[in-house]
Amino acid sequence: MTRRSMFVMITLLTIVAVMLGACGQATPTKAPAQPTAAPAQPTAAPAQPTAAPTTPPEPIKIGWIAPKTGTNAILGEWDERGILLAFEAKNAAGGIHGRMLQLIQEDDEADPTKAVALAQKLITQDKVVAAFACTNSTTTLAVVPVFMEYKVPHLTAALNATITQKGSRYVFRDCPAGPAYEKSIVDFMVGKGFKKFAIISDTSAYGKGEAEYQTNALKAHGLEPLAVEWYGIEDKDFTGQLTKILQTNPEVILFGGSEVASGLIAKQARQLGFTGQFAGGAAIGTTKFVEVAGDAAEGTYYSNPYITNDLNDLTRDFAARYKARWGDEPESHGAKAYDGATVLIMALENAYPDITPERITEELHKICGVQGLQGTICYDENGEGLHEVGIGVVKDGKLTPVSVQ
Amino acid sequence: MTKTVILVQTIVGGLGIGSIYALVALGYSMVYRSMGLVNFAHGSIYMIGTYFGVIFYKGMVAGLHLPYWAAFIVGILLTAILGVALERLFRPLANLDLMLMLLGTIGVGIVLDNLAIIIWGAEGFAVRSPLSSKPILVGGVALVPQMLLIIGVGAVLMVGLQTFLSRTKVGKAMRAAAQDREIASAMGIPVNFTNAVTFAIGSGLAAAAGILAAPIVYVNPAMSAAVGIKGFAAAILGGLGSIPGAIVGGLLFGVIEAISAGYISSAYTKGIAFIIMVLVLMIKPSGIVGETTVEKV
Repeated sequence: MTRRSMFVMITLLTIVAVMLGACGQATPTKAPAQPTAAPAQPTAAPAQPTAAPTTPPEPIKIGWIAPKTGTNAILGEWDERGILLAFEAKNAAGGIHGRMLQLIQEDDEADPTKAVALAQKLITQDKVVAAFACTNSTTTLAVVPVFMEYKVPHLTAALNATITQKGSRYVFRDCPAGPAYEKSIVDFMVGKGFKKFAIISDTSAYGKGEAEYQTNALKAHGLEPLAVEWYGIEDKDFTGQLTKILQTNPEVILFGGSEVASGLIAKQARQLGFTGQFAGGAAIGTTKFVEVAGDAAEGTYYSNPYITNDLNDLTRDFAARYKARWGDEPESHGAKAYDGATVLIMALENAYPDITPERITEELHKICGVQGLQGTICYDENGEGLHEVGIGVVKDGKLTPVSVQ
Repeated sequence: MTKTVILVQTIVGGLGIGSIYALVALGYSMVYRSMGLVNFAHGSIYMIGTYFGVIFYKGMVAGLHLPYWAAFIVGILLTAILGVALERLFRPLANLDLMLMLLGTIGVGIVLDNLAIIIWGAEGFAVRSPLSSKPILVGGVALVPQMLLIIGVGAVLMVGLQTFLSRTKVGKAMRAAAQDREIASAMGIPVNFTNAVTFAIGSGLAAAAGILAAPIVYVNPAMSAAVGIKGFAAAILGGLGSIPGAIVGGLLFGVIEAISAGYISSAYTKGIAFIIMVLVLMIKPSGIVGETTVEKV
């Protein structure tokens, strides 16, 4: 028995070792970012004489918390790509007066408990001066009080409206809030003459928020949703919910939840014989939704501040550089992360040489009139900077603009 | 839609997902009966098995695009081999304290999940159904071809397993070994071999479930947790260790989920399914089929 226990202990220790090894190795797969960032240092050298003549100046540490694993991993990946694209360009151009930007990345697995621990770690141990935290509403709502307590500014890519209503002057949203998306799409669909809507959403803070904003937007037109159905974020079969929805004979099914689930729902609704219209907000205007839904995505209307890569010179340039760096067409999440990174870089520039969380916060609040990929960014006292959202449609499997902001 | 159509529609959807749970539950039950091992890595085996199949279907291995049925068979065989390797790894854990099994198998499950992330990435992908996505309408009920395939192939596999166990020499040896390890061993039955076969079959069935489900779900490393837990719950619901129990439990679990989503509250589907499971266990702790099976496997 003791021998067996010994064996079990050894096995467990080996497992732990392998796991740690596995986790360690998981990051290098993303690490190709660094080699390309490294050549930036030589070009930075000319700037050094003015700053520090001998030792290279310390990098500016910026935190990043987003899911890298789990069902929401795609959000983290898009977010990371947008930020790194902006940071690498800045570093290649000499950084912030010779100081390189260093992104310290943490995986929250979309779990609010993990996000809070990681926020504390980034602030107290890594001493980051600012952070991107987080990409999910549930996790962002969890970390807002942490950043507020330590007085460190953070940018969020999450959409729940209440995030900026918690009394924190340290939170900044790098895209419009959820209500803007849902009001735009509902206004558009009602404008097209649709009157019978059903809503399906998930039970996360994001999904609950979106369904609520959709309901409110419908109410503004004197309409009530015929049905509001819910699912858990890991669910894969929606027959029960859809059957219930289809009994009410809606003309439009509005999606409130995330990319993958909405894609599966679209596919399953068509298979159950639904011939009406699909529509939704941020999650729907993504390549992931189109990939998962397949043919069922065709003709789906969505609202997004970033409708297409072919909107203007700024977006075309962004799309070309994104494709060259990551080998993929960019979409709205990468664009909003890029906008967030651009704004943060500006605040850092303006705060220089006093790169402290408090100064960066002040500078972020001053940002107004900056032309981003999603429109003109102008932060109010709550940290909301964008309000306009356009409408697109899935046509031949491509995200296509219907009207532009 | 009439009330009956809606009910039938909901039940068909539940049976499809329930077949997946049943196939996964069989792996839990078979291994438990033969080795006394509760294998918490089984959800991860289901996920790895899914990848083993769909990577060939999607042409991710050297651009090799196998037809769906071929990818299905290759995936099952590869996962069965993985199962044999895991049986060797878990052998010292058999009949030990549940706590040690829990730690050992969960640990291996996490390693498998991480390996999947390293090899195939965390993001995941959608898989197209080899069949038409157009539903077949029968009296107003929309039958999705892939769903029918899941239910059909699932039934064939379950009947096949039962036949294998009751008719073949290996199957009989497996049952004997499961019934009494020492006596079977004394009678000349290679117990370690029968255990390896049990593990291979359980893993292969999980792979079958995953590859069948792939076109209706989304394939990613995180898929191991949800189905792993529900498959286990289904095995417990039917009576852990019982083959018919795993099948009944799996189908029932799927149907309960679908009905609670359609009729009670779609916000608490998972909660309701588990509440019913707990209630059944309070009334009949051995599970629905539990004690009625005299035959052990």
